Amino acid sequence: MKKLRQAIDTLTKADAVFWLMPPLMILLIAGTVSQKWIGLFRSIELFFSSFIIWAGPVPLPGGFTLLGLLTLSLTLKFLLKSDWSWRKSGIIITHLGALILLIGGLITAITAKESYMLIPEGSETPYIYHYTNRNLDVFAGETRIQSIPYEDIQDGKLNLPFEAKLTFTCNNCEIVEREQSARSYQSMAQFMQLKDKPEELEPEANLTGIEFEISGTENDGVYIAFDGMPKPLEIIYKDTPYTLIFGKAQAVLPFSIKLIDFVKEEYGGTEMAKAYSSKVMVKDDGLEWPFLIEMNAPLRYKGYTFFQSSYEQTEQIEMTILAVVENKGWLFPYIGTLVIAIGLMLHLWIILWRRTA
Amino acid sequence: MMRLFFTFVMLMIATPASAQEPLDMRHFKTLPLQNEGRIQPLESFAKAQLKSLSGGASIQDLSALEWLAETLFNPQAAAQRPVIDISNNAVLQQMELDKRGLYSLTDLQARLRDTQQHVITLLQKDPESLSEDENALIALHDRAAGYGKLLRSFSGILPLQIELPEKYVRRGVQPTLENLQSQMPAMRAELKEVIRKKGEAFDTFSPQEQKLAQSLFALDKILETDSDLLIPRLLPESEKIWHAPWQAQDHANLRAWKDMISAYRNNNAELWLDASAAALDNTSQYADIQRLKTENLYRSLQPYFWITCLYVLGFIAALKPLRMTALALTAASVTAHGAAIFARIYILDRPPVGTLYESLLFVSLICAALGLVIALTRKDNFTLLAGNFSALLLLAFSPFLLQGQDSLEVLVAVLNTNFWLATHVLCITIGYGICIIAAALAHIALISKAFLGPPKLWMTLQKSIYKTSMAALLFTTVGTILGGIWADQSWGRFWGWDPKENGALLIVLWLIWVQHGRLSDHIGPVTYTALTALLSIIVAIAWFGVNLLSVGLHSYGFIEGLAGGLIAFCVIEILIIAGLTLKIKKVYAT
Repeated sequence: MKKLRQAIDTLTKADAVFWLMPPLMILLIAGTVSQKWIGLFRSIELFFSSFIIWAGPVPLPGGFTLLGLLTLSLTLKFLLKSDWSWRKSGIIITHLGALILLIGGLITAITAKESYMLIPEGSETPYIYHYTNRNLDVFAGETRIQSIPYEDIQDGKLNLPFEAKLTFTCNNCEIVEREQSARSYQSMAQFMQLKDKPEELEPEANLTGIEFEISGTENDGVYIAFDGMPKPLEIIYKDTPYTLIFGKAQAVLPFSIKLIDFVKEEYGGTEMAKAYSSKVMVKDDGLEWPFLIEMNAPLRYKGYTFFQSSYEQTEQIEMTILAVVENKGWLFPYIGTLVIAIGLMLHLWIILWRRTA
Repeated sequence: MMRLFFTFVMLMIATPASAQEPLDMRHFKTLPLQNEGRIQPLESFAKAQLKSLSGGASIQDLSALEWLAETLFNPQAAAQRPVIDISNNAVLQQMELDKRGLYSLTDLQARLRDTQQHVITLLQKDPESLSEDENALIALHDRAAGYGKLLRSFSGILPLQIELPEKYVRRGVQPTLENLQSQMPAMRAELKEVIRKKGEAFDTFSPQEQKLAQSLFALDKILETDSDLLIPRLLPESEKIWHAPWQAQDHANLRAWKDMISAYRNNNAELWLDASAAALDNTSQYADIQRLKTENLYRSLQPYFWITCLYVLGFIAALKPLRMTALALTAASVTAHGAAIFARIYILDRPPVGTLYESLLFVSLICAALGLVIALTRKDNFTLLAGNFSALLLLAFSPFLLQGQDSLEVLVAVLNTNFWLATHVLCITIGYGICIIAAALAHIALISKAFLGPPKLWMTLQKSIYKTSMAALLFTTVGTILGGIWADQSWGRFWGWDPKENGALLIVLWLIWVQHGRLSDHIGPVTYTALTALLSIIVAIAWFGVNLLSVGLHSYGFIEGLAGGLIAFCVIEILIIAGLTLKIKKVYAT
């Protein structure tokens, strides 16, 4: 009990922040510099979204641990050791603001889901896709009956309605011409072969694929499936037609979005973009209303936020790419900033006022 | 990317104009054109073009504007003027040229053609795999090709040096492509008939038939190579859409340009002035002429050179016991600096900080202004010294970030938002400025303590350092979080651990660390001052260092060679601060 009290006492003091800052700064520098070599995604995973970083056999505190301790220290200090006086009011408010930011960060880390949606002009869709997760979706006729995550497939859990054996996977594949072989290849695998190549710095840029062998069906043989495959695999088993599609994990929104018009405004006489915007129609439960999604001006609806992220333009069609984020903690930074700004300004005013007084 | 094929055909057949007396450029220099995504005055365009070709602001006895007039209106003479700078030894060797310097397009024509195939091969390679020399060769071809296009801007209107068959010569009508185009079908039909009768052997043609074939060949060649020219966009259709002369051959304002061509080529000063005034007047509804004049003035004054000189004088005055002079000089330079920044805001019609270079201009103003404001509350000149010194150092460094010249550039879509540029960017750059002043004051405090300055000075500087540190914490914290909110608005991620975000956060963490160290008595006043002095390094890393990583959405200012300078700065700062701290500890230990 005494030790606990001692620990709480230490955490409520400025000492705690003083000792937490150097490792946090080192972590920040390491996590930033490492991006050049391992990319942002892995760097976040390794340094910032981790509890422990293993430097060989030595465990070092990761971002979650350090920020968790900082949150704990601030909470305890705020609740137990705040000097509730006018002189310290600015400091207290600033600490409260920092606490709001950290709690918001925690909620974001736990709840935020990022995906994207791709809508051709004039089309309507309720589907969103995960940036990095892949699935093998199995349809019996029109109905999706299975959605197997790529990670499970890698673990050998390729449990299809018929006999299937995984033969090869590549996180980032190169598609090459099929070499002559005695095996029976089906569909695209007759002409194409997957080869492993080094992964891209950002996992979303990888072209992930699998190769598997099917038996006991009317179309036995070796198949390949990969991101953005031009046509689904079709297999007939016990008179039922099955369709297999591999690609970014799909989810369905509780409403749908139709793209009316995508506009890319350029600086005059150049191809340099000045602004992008998507005029969309939100359709939900028989109701529909228009919205203009612009850079820095997202659409927020039912906990989802849609941001103008990118576009694809061909001679035939324009498609908008919207980033879709579900984040229950999105409001915290707005409140946190306001509170911190008020706190610091108050403190600054108090120290300046004290001098004049 | 690069098209050089037969760019010179027209140059060979455009009639050279008579020798030029200087013409009055007062209207010509303000004429608007659309270039690099914005409307700019012709003088700005001329300076940028000449700088990229020759590396200089003028050429022989011509100003940039006079050179541009010659390029547009008398291309044959311009093509013979040495204007293309070649300084890469490998390129010189490849071109069989013996010395570095300026070459005319006519000098280089054959050599460019000889190396063209090699350049095409290079362009098909991975750009990352190209050597510096190979890139220099590609850049030379690019510059020459761009210059070739500029020379051919008015090739459809300029009189041609061709000998027409007599039956096609019309008295009093200039032999320009424009005037001859209506006769070309008849000429073509006649040539076809000649070929039908005599075959394609040129020698068997009569002199008149030879003239016909040569004229037609030249006219066709111009049409083939020039009719898709998209620069310079001098002729407005609306505020946003501007056309090159070749793309708007019936544009109302082309009359004034033709008059200018005629006036230039005949050295008619009166017509020149009237025509350029008319051209300017005709475009005034599509461009803000006052803005264009301001840009010309801004460029011709070279304000930052003079402002830097004023900061130097202010610094020198602050070193001497000339308090009022130092205050007045600093106030004058801050006013001039502020005016220059406002001119930039007016010219670009956006908040002042959108590029790395602009951040230097703005932060230096914050440093000087803050030094001045704090100086008014103190009885000594130390904050004036800190402010002036920081400002002049930053301004002296700023040209290195330009890589050529200040192009007053437009911003990529994600940065192109006035609200966030005016809040997040200004807030964070003000934070940088205050951090620099806090660090500079800490340097002064350490020097004073190490060399046994008055104890009272140490005390008052400590208070100033604490207050500026708190103000720095306010601005960097709020600025950093505002950046997060901008990111949340832009792509739905409040915090993405982007290098620039992390850099800004590093400053905040450093300031929090130092303040909490002081509060918890883990660091004494000397260490506190030394750590605040080290803020200069933290700011430099956050500001410039992260650009070296060349990753993330904020890496707009990657500058080659910056790494070496940054490392040198950090090492020198650490040595100075560590040296002073050790000296203080030693002095006070005895």
